[in-house]
Formats: sequence, C-alpha cells, structure tokens
Amino acid sequence: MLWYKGWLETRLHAAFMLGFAVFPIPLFTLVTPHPANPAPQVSVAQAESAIGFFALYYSIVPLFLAGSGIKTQSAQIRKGLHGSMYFTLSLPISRFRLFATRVSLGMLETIGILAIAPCFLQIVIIGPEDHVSPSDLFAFWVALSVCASAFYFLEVLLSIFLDEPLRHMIGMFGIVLLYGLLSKVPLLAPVNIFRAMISPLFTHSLPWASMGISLGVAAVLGWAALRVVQTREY
Amino acid sequence: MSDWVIEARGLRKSFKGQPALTGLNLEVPAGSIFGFLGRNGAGKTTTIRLLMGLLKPDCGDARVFGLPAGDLSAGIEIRRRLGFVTEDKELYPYMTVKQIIRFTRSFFPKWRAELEQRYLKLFDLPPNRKISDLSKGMRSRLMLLLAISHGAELLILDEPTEGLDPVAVEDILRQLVAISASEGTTIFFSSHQLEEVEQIADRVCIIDHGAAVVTGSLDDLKTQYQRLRVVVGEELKAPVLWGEGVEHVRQDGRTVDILASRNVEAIINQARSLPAASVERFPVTLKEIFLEHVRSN
Repeated sequence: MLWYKGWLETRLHAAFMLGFAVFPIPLFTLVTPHPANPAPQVSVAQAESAIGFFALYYSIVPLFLAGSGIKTQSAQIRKGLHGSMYFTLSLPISRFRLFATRVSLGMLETIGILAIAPCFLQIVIIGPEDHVSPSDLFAFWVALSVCASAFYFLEVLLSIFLDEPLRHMIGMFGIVLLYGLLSKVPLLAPVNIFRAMISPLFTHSLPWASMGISLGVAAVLGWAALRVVQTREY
Repeated sequence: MSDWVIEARGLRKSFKGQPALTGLNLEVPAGSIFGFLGRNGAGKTTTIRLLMGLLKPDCGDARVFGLPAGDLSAGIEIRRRLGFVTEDKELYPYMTVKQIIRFTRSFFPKWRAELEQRYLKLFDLPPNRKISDLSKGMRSRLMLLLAISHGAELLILDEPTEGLDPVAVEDILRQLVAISASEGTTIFFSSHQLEEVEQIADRVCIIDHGAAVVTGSLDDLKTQYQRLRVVVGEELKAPVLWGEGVEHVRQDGRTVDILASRNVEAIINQARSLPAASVERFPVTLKEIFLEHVRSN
C-alpha cells in the first residue's frame, strides 16, 4: 500500500514529466532534417551534438521526479511541508521501508519516462535507416538510466536538506549545468557523464566504467540520505 | 512486566538551547484515561513526540509498553500497539475515507473489521468522500476510527478536541469513555481544556515549563486539595508561617484564602489558633489546581 500511496502522490509529477519528455518530439520533427527525408543528411558530429543535448535535457527527468517524489515523501521525511507526516510516522513501518519505497518508485518512474529518449532519437534524429540498431537504443536507455541515477540520488539528498522545492530545484539545475560545462574541460572528459549516456549509440557497447562510477556515487548519496532520514528528529 | 503503559524518567529535551522538557517524570497505568495538561508550549507535544520515537531525549528514559520509545525496532512494535491522533488531524487529502481505511488496515494484521464498521456508522463518515472535503471534526473522528480499529491498546491523542465545535467535542469525549470501558484501552490525551479533562479523565498530570507539577488520580487530587477561607478578628500584622501543604496564600484585609494540597486538618487547626478566626473549607476544581500551580510556577 505504500507503493499505492506513493503513486497517488507522484502521479501528477510523473505525468508532467512524461509531457516534458514527449514535448520535443513533435517540435524537433518539424525542424530537424530527418535522414529518411530528402533533407540534407545529418553528420555524425551534428547528431552527437544533438543527442548530447538531449542527454542533458532528459537528465532533468530524474531531477524533477526525485525532487517531487521526495518532496511529497516529505510526508514521511520532513517537518512542516505536509501535515500528514505524523500520521505516516505513527504507522508501524520502519523509516528505511518508507524511504526505500519512495526512492524506488521515483527511480522506476524515471526509468520508465527515460524510455522515451531512445524512441525519440529513433523517430526524429537517427531514423530507421541509420546504423543504430534497436539493441544500441536499448543500451542507450540503460546507460541513460544508470548514469542518471547519480543525479537522482543527489537530488534525493538535496531535497532532504532544502525545504523550499524551488530552491533545491534551482540548485540541482545549477549543479547539472556546472557539470555540463566542466565536462567540456578536456581533463575531465573521461568522467563526462553526458558523453557516457549517449556513448552506446556510437560505440555500440555499454559504458561500464561510467555506469559503475555513477552507481557508486548514487549508492553513497542514497546511503547518506537514508542515514539522515533514520536519525532525523521530527 | 511493569504496570505502567507509559513510563518516563527524568526526560530532558532542548531545542536550540531552549529547554522544552526539564526532567519530566510520567507514569500512565494500564486502562486509565490520563489527561496530560499544560499551557501552550508547556512541553505536551514534545513529550508525545518523544513517546512516539519521533524525537530523542537529551537525557532520561521513556518507555511505552515497557519498550524503549527511542529504539528504531522497538518503535515499530510500539506503533503496532498504539493509535495516534495528531494535533492537526491531517491525513492524506487525496485519498477517500475508504482508501485511507484500506491503506491503514494493510499495516495492522489484527485489524478489527467489526470495529471499523461500527465506528464508520457511528461517526457518520461517508466512505467515498475525499479527506480534503472533510471537516476537522470529521477528520478527528476518522483518525480515531483508524486508531481504534487496529485494536490499539493505547491511544495517544494530541489535543483531540482542538478546533472542534461543542457538539463534536461532546461526541468525541463520549466515544473515548466508551472505548476505554468496552475495550480496556488506555487513553493518554493532552489538552488545555480543563473541563474536558475533568469530564473524562481518571488520572492527570499537569506539566509546566517542561516538568510535571501535579500528578495523580483526579479523585485523590480533589480530596487532597481544598480551599480554606479564614476570617480573622483583626487584620494580621505579620505574615503567618503556615505549615506543610499550603500551596498558595492570598490575604485581603481580614480574609485569608489558602489552597492546601495536604495536611488540611493541621492547617485548619493552625488557622483556628489565630485570634477570633473562623474557617470554611471548599472543594476545588481541576481548573483551580491547574491555575494555582501554573501561575505560581
């Protein structure tokens, strides 16, 4: 029933993010030269740039879903934002279970909505006749989801500390943009998470190292968030 | 096993250096209706949060059903056996009455469907109405239904009648007495509505500045506490050094008003030894006891 409650609380945010994820498809269908169309062929560099942009664009999905999910999880976690918090905390459930349920639900919603990204690329940018296979698109989705988990858990942690939803969302956008800019620095190229997200489309393999680092970072951030939730007073 | 459902010893808690509890001792016997009284900010809600394991004491020990209230795993067992009605009566606004009953039921294997049905009817709660559309009184009743239906051995109610109209207050109080009588449930409720506490409680604790100033059975308190009116022949020149048990003395001309908490007979004898003194004794209300202690504190 905690999953059901979580779904009731986050479904509007999830629907909004679904719209956010689908929104560019018709827009870019109109303005982007499609390989299947008689328009000029898209170069690899152009495609990479466009795909990189979309990796950044779709990285907002986990931020928002973690943010909104955990914000409503404030029903369990934080004081003041949701009056029913004390009712939830009076139920015979561990804080670990409350936390794990909500975080898992948000992550599943994120992964589900991120599935739109490869579909989008297939429809708009790459086209059916290109050299990117369905398995590459699947790998892209996996890489996108796993790499996004670091952002997701960063947002989970931030949302526990920052009460104002707008403030922490702005903070997260700032971090992602800063990270995006820093990743342009050649020295930091090996840890460019956005490049790792899109790499299956070009290398036809999963970026295991980057995915491992992302999962490691996500685990550390998730553990830190859980520790805060378990020891916090309400 | 202890006879106390709730036991607290020397509880202290501060928030940013501001003391909220300053060594609270509390004992709530099984099956009692226990009124926890205090002014706003006296430490009632902090105590309840400590008992619920939502706060950790700076020092001291709180036990519910003999289990440590602050322990994470013991806390789950404690919460399985108690029902909690929060001060603000907030529930999930997006759920209907039926949905929140189903949701809550899923956490309590010993859920008592017959109590759920009885109180659903008795409290006149519309199953398909959204919680956001319920009045505060209806939300109070719904919270009470949720707390009772899982077979709670202890109900912790934080200002259960706060913000309710007199009819709703009467209704809730009557149900609390009925629940205690029929189910043997211990009821621990905080309030600053003294008449309500006097109406249903059999034991009380008055808390002020984070510590218990009066605690005991309401009947005993009413027997022990007496107001004495002493009228002397001429105005007293020097203050009288009254014996033990005098809580408060107020002198107005030849009349001396005394609130005594014990040794009443000895105090009466002392008063009669004053020149041309007459002594009258009056019973006291809980309100008088409360006001005397809270004011003098």
